[in-house]
Amino acid sequence: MNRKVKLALAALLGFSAACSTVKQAPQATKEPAAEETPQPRDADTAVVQEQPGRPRIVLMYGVRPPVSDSMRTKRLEQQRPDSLPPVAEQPVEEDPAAE
Amino acid sequence: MGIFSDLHAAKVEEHRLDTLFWECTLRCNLSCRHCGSDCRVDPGVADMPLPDFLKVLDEEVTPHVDPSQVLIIFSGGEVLVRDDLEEAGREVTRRGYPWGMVTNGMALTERRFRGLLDAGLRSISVSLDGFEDEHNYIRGNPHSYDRALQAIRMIVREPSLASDVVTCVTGAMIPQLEAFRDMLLAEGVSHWRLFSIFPMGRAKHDPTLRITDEQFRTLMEFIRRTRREGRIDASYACEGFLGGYEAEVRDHFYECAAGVTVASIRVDGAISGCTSIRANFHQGNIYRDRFWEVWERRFAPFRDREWMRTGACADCRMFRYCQGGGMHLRDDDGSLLYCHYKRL
Repeated sequence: MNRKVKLALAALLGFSAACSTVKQAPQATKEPAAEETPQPRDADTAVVQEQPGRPRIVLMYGVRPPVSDSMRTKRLEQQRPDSLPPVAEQPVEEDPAAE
Repeated sequence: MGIFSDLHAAKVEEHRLDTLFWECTLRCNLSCRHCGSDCRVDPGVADMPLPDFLKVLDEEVTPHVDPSQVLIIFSGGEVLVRDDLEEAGREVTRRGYPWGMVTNGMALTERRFRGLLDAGLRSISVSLDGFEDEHNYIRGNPHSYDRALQAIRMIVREPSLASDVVTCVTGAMIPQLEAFRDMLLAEGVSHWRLFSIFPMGRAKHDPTLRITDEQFRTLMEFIRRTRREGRIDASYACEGFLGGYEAEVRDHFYECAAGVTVASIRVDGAISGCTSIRANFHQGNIYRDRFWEVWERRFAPFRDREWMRTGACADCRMFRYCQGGGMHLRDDDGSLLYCHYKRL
């Protein structure tokens, strides 16, 4: 299918709808592929490449996308009606000399 | 799945930077069993001075992006060991960037939390790896669970913040997942990210850390069930391609955004993809190279992953969807260390 058509289709259907058409049962992915060479391993252990020397572990460092400014303001107004968002510009006191 | 592959290809072509990690320290106030490699109370690597990072931001990033569209993530180590974290946050906020951080919660006092909010903190993740026994065992500190829970209680009350709890699921936690989820719900947590340790390095020889293939499938089923219930937004982290579980256990289809929309500046100045990558896929160094030039002109190994089509990936029919998996699943020589799909 043409790429642009696919993108348009994804936009029209929404991602969840697009996904739901390709969901597979997990076991379905386990059908033996002819090209795969079975490797000896413990039944309950994943195959991992040996990595001598440097012990490493991967942790997940990302964070969730921030709440949008309008949503933040709305939430703050609901919880603290008299306050401003923490990093919003603070109101400047009027200079009496200017009057 | 083909549609998502095409969407990812379009993203690669554009490679618009939307997340920039700053690994500001490797120091840590804990010595966790699963993180024994890089982070130490004294890792022997100096923190990157704040002015060095700001210089890159001012001269190399800001001229090319809309700051409001680029999320800066302070990572470590434990970022709260830096006394100037609030100053760093203020400076980043002043330049128009949203910023977030990940913490173990040990040093997150009410005073510091308020200071970080005043400095513009927009998103925060707290690590909580289970109930008290499991968490303290992994973290190696009898107070770590209480501190993390206190931090979570502060955070969930703050409406201006995006937040989540991040759980490293070990074998001991598998039978307790439902009870733990209910505890998080009772504490007011609405977003929960789970990940598992794959058996590399220290974890490989520690059966208390890793989970078996069967437990991994149990974890996937648990997340899928929890998402369908809809009481808490549970998701599996962006660790690897999950075949039939894709779009069922997280909000998005699998993709590795490292080097595509995500860059990092490591503590030594190295420029790379995301900070989860431990192998040497560094594309430059801020002390030698111009960051933006590196971002625009290098990063070829991140954006064209055909080189990964070797070994176990050579004939795999899923390659077109997973593109060889995450960069963090590759060793220094590029070989695949682990495949989540095959595990399932």
